[in-house]
Amino acid sequence: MQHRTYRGQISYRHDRLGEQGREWFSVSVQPDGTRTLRAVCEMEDEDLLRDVTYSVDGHWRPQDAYVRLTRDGSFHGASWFRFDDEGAECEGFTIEEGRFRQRVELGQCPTLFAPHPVVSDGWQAAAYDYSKGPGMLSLENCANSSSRPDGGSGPMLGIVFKDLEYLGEEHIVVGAGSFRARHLKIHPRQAAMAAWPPLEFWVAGSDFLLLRLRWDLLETTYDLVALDGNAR
Amino acid sequence: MTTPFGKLGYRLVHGTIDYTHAGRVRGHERFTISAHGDGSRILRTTSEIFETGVLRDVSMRVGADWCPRDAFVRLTISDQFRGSGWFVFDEHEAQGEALHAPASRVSQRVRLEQPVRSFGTHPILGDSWHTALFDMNGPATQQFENLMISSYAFDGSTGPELLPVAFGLELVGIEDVEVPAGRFRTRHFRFLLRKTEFHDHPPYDVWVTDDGDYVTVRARVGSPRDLLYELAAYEQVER
Repeated sequence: MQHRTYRGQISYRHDRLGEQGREWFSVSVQPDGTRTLRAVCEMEDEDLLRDVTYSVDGHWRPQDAYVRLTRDGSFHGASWFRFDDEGAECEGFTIEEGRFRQRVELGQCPTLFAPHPVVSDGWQAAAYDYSKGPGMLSLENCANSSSRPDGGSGPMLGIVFKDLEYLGEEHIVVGAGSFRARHLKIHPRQAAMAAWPPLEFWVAGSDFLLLRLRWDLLETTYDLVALDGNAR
Repeated sequence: MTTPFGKLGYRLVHGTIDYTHAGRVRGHERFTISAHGDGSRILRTTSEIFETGVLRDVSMRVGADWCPRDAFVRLTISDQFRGSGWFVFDEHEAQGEALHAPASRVSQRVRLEQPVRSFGTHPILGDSWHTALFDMNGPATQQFENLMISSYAFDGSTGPELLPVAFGLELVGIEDVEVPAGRFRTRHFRFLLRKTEFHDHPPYDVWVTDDGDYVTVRARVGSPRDLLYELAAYEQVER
């Protein structure tokens, strides 16, 4: 076994209410670049607990994922996602929908998958070609497990389109330390999300480790407050 | 002893179990359990077995009756994907949806006469959760049927899939046990595996916390494998 592992914790801090949630994660990275994320996310304001296991290949293409939601202390839904060169599928069971099966043909593997841990939001930055310098990239056929800002619905397969903006490099300090970071924004392109402000985030290294995420929509800043292991 | 719940309405139990052979660490398992107000529990484990290259992720939910409700198992062997599967259970049916390497998509639907009482997904802590079936007011040895397991391999390195299984448990006694994580009052059980799919399995004893959480404090697989599993870190947090 030659994989390396890193672990961390992210604090969810509301502008007025203080810390309202937290996320524990671990990522194992295999020699071919395949990586698996395990995350437990808890949000006190929503009484929401989310479990995610999500894997991507060495090119950051989504492979498979599992998402379970517990809301108000009870099971809300659990779904398994699988991705291939033609699209995506979801096998799920939720309190609202019951047992369901989805298949979306895209003619390609989804560009990325957003199962809603903040740490995997940082992985979206892997799509950008940084040799081009600051600029904008259209992200087509992006899959997600919920269209809600807090990821608290489903989990069900959704497809959205968005733009990824790279603003440049910065030095930032978070609870886990001081980092050289790439600063990016995600601009939603869906009509239903037209009123949403951009999601702003900073990542470090070849792991695209999320350092900070700021979303005015939720009046919340998400900071990496602990990091352990072999992150690059 | 179950502690009161905090603001978020659940209790977390974190820990690590070391896998050793002849004093040498051969793997480990990290786990987090959440115990919810409705009696349900979610177990999350990441297990690594160095000698066979197994990296296994499990997430499993049981109801207040300890019967499985849903589970996810992901297997990597020697840094190569082996399988990813999702399982859901109700009183009439068990369903499995999985991808087995390299590209075999598997769907299973198993009609049930009785609900599945326990689902073995191969973390050591998951083995200990089987002992929740045991009626402490009943006889010292008890047999169990209507069980399922995700792999018949000793190290759980195949599948994952839905497979039937049956076994018995013997309550050896209530014992205080000292391990690296501390001293615990335990229920000592012995798995009764003769005439089962695991008839060639070495003797298998587990010591689980006597507090209703059924956390593995120690497990021992006898000769010829001679494997020891001990709780190395343990913490409870009210959320």
